[in-house]
Amino acid sequence: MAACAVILLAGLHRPRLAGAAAIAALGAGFLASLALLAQALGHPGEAVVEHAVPWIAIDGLRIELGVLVDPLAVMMLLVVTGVGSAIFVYSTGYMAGDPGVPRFFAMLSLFACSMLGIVLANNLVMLFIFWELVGVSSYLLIGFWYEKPAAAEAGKKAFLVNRVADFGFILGILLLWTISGATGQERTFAFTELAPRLHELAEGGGVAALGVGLAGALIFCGVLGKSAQFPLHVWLPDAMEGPTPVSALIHAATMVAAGVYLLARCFFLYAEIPAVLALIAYVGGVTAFFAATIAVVQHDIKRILAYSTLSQLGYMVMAIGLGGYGAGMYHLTTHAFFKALLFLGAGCMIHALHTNSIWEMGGLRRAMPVTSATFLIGTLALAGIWPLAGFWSKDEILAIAFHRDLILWAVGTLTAALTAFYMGRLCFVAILGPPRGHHHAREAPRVMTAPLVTLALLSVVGGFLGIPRFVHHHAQVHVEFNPLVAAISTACAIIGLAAAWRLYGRPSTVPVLLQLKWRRLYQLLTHTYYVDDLYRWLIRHGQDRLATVSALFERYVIMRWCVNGAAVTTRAAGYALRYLQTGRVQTYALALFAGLIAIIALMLGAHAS
Amino acid sequence: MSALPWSPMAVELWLAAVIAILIWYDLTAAADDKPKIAILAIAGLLPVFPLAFAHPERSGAFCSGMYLLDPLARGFKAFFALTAILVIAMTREFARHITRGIGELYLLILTATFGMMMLASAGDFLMLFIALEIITLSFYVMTTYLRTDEKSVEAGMKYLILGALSTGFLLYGISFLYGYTGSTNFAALREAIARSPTLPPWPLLGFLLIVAGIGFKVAAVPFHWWAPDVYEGAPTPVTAFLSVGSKAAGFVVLLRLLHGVFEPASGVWMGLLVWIAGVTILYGNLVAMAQMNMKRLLAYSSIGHAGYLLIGIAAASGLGAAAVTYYLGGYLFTNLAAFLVVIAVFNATGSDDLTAYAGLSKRAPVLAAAMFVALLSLAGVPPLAGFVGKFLLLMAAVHRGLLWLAAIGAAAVVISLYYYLLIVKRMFVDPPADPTPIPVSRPVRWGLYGCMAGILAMGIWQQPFLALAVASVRSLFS
Repeated sequence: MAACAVILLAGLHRPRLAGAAAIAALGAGFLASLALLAQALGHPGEAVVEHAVPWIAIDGLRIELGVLVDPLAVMMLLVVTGVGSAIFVYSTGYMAGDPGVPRFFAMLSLFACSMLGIVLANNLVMLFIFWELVGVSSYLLIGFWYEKPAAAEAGKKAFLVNRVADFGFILGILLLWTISGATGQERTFAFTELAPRLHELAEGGGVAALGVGLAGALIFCGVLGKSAQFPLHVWLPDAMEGPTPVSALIHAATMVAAGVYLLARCFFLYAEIPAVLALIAYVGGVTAFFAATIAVVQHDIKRILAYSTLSQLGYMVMAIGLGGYGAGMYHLTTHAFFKALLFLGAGCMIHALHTNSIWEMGGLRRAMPVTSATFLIGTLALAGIWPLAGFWSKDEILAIAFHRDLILWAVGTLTAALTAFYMGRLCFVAILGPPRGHHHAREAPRVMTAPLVTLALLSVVGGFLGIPRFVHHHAQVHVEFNPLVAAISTACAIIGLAAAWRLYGRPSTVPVLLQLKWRRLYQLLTHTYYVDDLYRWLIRHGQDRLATVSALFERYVIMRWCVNGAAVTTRAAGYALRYLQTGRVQTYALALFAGLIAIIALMLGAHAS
Repeated sequence: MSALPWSPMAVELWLAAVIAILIWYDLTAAADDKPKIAILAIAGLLPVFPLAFAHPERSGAFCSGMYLLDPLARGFKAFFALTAILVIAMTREFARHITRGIGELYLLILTATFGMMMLASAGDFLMLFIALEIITLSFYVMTTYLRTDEKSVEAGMKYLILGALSTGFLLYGISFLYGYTGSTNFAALREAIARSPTLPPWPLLGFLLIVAGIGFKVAAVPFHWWAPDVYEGAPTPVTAFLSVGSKAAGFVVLLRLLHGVFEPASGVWMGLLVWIAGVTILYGNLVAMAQMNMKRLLAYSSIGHAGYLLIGIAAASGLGAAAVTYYLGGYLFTNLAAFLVVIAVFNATGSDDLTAYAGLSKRAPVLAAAMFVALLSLAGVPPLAGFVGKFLLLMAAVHRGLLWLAAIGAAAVVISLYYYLLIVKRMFVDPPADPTPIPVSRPVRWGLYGCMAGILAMGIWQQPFLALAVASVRSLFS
């Protein structure tokens, strides 16, 4: 049934499709996912459906096209189709009047289709194909307004950064495939077959275990790119040049979460290699903190949310790195709800005010009551205030961190305070603050607010859904609810909000003073720790020089001597041989005999010797 | 079904009946009705598919080993029937250039097909020789069918003389083998050869003469001399039939002989076949580069393809044999699509020169697109049928350690891309000499769609075709 949903979506790549068709298809996908959920709940335990048909089968290489539906996939399906449907509906309002609407929906559908492909893939090759398709559709959507140079640049950047990461990913896949043959069976790409074999290999130790670790680290490279983890995070903030629904769908709720999903999908692999897990956890923790600090000084509402997304993805990756498989997926789900909500709310504001800067917004509480209210709910959920969704999922991660690694716990808690601070800043300035220089802010049409309300509801009740118990893995770390951790993180969140209120709640000179006082830090943060500049410098001085030398080498050595030389020789040979064909039948008969006699002489000669 | 009487030769008997009825029809029908024979012939060929695959349990040797009915024979009967159907459809497009006796042309296509079907089932050198002669005699006549065209008559004469020569080689070789073993039966010969796998000089001489005879049929260097002239001169549908049907018939025989009868002596002939394959690939592709006539170019390229197919024979393995059948399957769709375009262009411009293809994409987008797909598949570009076939052949070579041969095969792909892409450039970049659109009739259109579907299907969804190829050659090695 889920496969049917995929096919349904695959049929929609044609440009003539309208938004209605896309929504209908995704809605059908959502209903199908709900049916799958009911089925999975009806048969607790191992409700795994795996169905595959061979695609390429030659000696020693077997690739299948197949679907794997387990609780993990079902939950991800629900997130993708559910949040996706809400965003599709919203897009019909947001994109109204844009000349490229059919193209937009075609790309969105392509994206949704490939995303479902990632979720349902039963082997690494198939997953990789859809992974790349997602990358392509993301590139197309970021650069949707291709006439804007910044958008085209951002699309290119996202694509290139992801290519770098995917190179590691495919190396990891090939390595896994190679070592999967070490147990003596046929090599495989399929998840369900890999799991027991890798367990066996890792137990065995030696080179094979090392290979498993290396493969795990390489596959994590793919995650670094797609989920925008440090140091490959640079593309995500720039990707905000795309239309806001795209940012909500791809760069907040689903695509960036694909990396986290991949980690969860390959958890069987990481469960065998604690060293890589620790690396993953620290990368996640660093990203969470690092991105939160940058978010504090941004002015563009979408960039604030983008850095916040980075930070929250860091949380998820950290959770999985700490062994909290369920907790990571839990946070992924709740984050999809409230971050999509925040992006869509931001989209409404941008739509109404035609500006991205929070300093030009304000006074929206009266002008746009629904948007403001839902945005505030999203903010509280993100900040982790009880009893909203974010509280439960973030708290579970922090509880695991508290249990496993106090440093990461401290980082996580500090990040929670920062999160509350920058979100508070955003709300106090843009929504609750006084109106600034605009007179025509009006509430968005209902087609845009309805998804907001739906997502807000989910953000409120999402904490009570018991997701970690639905998605579980035998190797995961499980901890009980810890009141102390919860209290500390809530207190941090409240402190963060209070600080934001103190600084930005009313007109005050304190922020400016602080900026002047800590000028160095402020510079560092506004330049996003100079990571982008570093990359630019490296590219200019490293790659460009190399490229110049290579170009010269190619032009003068390869082209002149090898390629052209070979071409000239070959063509001359062709023209020369042509003269053998005289057109006289006597010559032909003679040549025929000569050839035969030569062959006979050679063969008999070889025989005699 | 099982209650009905059934003969192992059901396909041939049915086809013989169809031919007899059509001869009667051709003699009695009014001149205006004669073109209808094409439709009747296609209708008569359709039952071959179910008949060929009927009663799979009743496979084996019949008529004291003269006639074999195994998966290889069944598969190739279907292959030849499909080829014949497409060639008849092509001939209908070409019929306007034939002044007299169009009815007999269809009949000759059927008799050649009949010979090919017998050949696929031959289990004895006697049967093989007769079947081969049925094919060749039909082709001698078909080649000269444009009786007022000097080139066509000349081509027929050359084919007749050189063909008679090669038949002489074949018979002479058979007589040596018969003298050595006292039998012409494949199974008996195989046993005799298995007893002395190094082949004493006299049977070796016989073997080489037979290889020369078959090498002539598949146009392998140095027995290829006839191919360019005959391909250029013959009516285009006949050229297509020669390049697909006749070539495939030669390869069925090679599979049966080298992978069957002479398989125990593979140590003796593998080196020879490797050389022939390598030289054929290089020769065909190098000379194709210098051609200015489309049919001649396709003739040389088909020599090159024969070389590729010989890789699979030289590999002397199950994979090699399966690769040969797979490649032939893809080659059927690809080459027939190309010749269909050649006919359509010839009908519109009256020329087979490459210059006639300038700006084809503007004059007839369907033709240009089909030619583009066919050429890329011939060159072996993924995801088309030709790629998979070449890949399997090269893999078979690598498996047997024939690395040099695989390297030559890969290098020739580059050469072939050069001249194929030059045609593509002509079609898509060059301005047309005459910008009027070329009308594309519905049968041509549907024929091209069918061929393109086949090319794409065999390129993307290889599994079922590969399974079929593997199943059809399995009986060779049991």
